[in-house]
Amino acid sequence: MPEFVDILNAIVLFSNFVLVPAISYGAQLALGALGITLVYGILRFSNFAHGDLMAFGTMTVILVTWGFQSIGISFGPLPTALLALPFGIMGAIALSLMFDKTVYKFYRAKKSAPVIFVIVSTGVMFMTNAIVRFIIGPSDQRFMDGTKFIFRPREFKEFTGLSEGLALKSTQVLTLTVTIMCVAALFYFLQKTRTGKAMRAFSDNKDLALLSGINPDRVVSYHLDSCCRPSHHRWHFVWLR
Amino acid sequence: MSYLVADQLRGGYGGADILNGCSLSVDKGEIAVIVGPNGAGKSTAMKALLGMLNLREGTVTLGGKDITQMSPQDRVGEGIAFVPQTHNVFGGMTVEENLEMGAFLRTDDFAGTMEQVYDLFPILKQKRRQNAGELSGGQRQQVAVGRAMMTQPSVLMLDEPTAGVSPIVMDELFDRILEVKQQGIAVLMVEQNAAQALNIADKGYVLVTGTNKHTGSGDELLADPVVRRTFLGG
Repeated sequence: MPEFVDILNAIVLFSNFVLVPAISYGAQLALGALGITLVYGILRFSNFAHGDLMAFGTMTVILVTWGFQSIGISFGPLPTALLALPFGIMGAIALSLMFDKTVYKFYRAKKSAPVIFVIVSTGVMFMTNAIVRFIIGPSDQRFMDGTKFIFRPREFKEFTGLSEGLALKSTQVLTLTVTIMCVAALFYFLQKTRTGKAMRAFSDNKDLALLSGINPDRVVSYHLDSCCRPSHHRWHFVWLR
Repeated sequence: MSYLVADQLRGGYGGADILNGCSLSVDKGEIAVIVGPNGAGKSTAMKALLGMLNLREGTVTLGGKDITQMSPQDRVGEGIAFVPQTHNVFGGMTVEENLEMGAFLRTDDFAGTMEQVYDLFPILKQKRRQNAGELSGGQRQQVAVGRAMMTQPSVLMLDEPTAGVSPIVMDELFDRILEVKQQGIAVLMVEQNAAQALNIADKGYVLVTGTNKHTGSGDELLADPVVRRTFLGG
């Protein structure tokens, strides 16, 4: 019969190596999934370039973070990358709008079949990928600063008196917080705002949405804004490694 | 000169012409009904008025303004509202959201119009938080008409509003359409239930192979022995 404290130790061990990292990793995946679901759900467009758009946003964030670090801007205990986030979002929006104007608009005007869009997005994927590889390359990049741990295993052991330690990284908490905030904001946007409702209406019944005066070009651009939003989460991937 | 006038329309979906010189008109505060056999071009005529058809010949004017070249969306902005026969609600959205989408183009406060729609269709007020896709056929038609009314249109076009609903619901819908007409809106509808529709119509058009076969007031057409024998079943 194991002691009660053994069970607690087991739970802590499990949390340290499985539960906490898994929640954090799951939240990262959820953010990417959120974006691509939104694109497919509203526009019925399987965007193969989504992942690389995320990478592009990440790259922008890293570059701006390095810039901030070099001129001595920091965000106290929080990572400087958080300050660079808006620039990453703007970068990703700019890239999407550029591809929309130069590539997708042509096929939209031609009313191409969905499968054509899928192939086209594969081309956009290769291009975006090449841009990112050319500028920053595929290797790990270090841009971490601020407080790394909220508590370390040793601190946890001393605090609880258990023999197993539990670490909680600030990145893990941030990832989860950002995910919850994004999901909440997205839910609010789609359920409560006029534009969000128009996007749902467009995916629900395209012809009737047109008859109600909902302009698909604007849906696309709003859509691009929102699909760029998850772009900044890629840096968590790089960051945690 | 009536408010909405279609004159000598010719055109189709690309192949042979479906409309062969068909003319229609409806004035504000009037109900015009298009009846005719299957394939006569009733719905096509309505689509032409909405700008969803490539016309080779003919003109469409709204309040004296030529709208023949306008896109359907622009015509909606000009005050034409259309209720399609099928897929006429946003099934995954609540009744209230459906009405809001109807008012999408409006920048003013549309709460008053929404109250009017709820007064017209009290059942919708009860079910306003329910998804339109979960409603019965008759209620869904009410949502569809309500959505169209949200634009505060001057012309309301209905494509077979009573298709697939029970006779009681049909009478109820026709009563509501009469109320819409009393608000000074021009109502144009295509109907399969020809006799009942002509009963409430100020004007009736019998279309055959894309041309006007008989035209007259609802009562005249109902009394015309030829129309009765050939289109109304005795």
